[in-house]
Amino acid sequence: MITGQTNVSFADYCRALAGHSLVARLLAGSMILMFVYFLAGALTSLFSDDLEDILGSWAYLVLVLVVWFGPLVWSYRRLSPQQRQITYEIDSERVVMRDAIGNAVIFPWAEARSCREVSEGFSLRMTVGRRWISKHAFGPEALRELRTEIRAHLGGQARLMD
Amino acid sequence: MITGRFTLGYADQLQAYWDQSRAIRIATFGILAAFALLLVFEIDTGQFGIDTFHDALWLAPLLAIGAWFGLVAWAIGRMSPQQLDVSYLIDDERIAIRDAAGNEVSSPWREIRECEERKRGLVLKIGPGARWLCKRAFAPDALAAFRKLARERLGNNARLMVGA
Repeated sequence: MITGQTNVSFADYCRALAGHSLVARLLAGSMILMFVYFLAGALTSLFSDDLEDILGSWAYLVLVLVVWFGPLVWSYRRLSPQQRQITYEIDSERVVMRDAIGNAVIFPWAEARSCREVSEGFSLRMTVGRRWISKHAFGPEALRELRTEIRAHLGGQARLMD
Repeated sequence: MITGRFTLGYADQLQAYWDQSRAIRIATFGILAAFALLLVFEIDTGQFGIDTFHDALWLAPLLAIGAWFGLVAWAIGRMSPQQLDVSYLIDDERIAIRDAAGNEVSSPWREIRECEERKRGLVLKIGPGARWLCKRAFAPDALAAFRKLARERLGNNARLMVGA
């Protein structure tokens, strides 16, 4: 049994949500594009002589930030410290993610289609959607065991960093 | 132990999204109202369909709603028969939602803030999210037992249908 525990950071929360489905990733991508577009507009407006133009551009940028990131921050802040404390219990059959209150999400390895390891964690593509496993939760030995487990189940579909 | 089982369908998934989030219901009515206002404005000012911009203006809300229906159909279409075979296991301690493929989501009763009974489902408000239980998954006596348990555990926060 591989076990790990972590406190979900806002970055983890965003990654888990953004990576959950293709729709969420498309939305996240469009959010970033919109943000860059309005940021460029706001920065360009600094060279304008028209005060209305400057204020309008920055107002758009603030609006985009509030509309896109506001709900994320709001829902993350609503999580209690116990809900942010996640424990992983992983064996050869399944992955169990549990918070300190008792909410649990369980999925069998058979449901995972592929895995991509990035610097902060493992993004598992499931039959429908994705699951995020944070690397902060595991010690070096547990992390090695986890990679072995992922490889054993996904073979060539496991794109790991080691 | 209260148990229920059903096969998840397209209508159930739509109903689940509709029931479990007031934000989605408000956003849908907002989009429909915006669509109606734009259409009236466009017709009134004689700008209906005069160029691509004005076409996009009234087509965008329709596309947004159409895309949402399409995405739900796409997600359901990708699920295996095992994933669509959903079971509920409810006892004094927790509520577990399972599929035949082995996926499970469970929450203890003490985490549930509110239970709202709607026409086709029971919405459980948990933390920042919600869970939707399909009423047709339960036999009449199991549904009655669930209502009794919800009243015991949630008191006034169990907003069940009158007469239920």
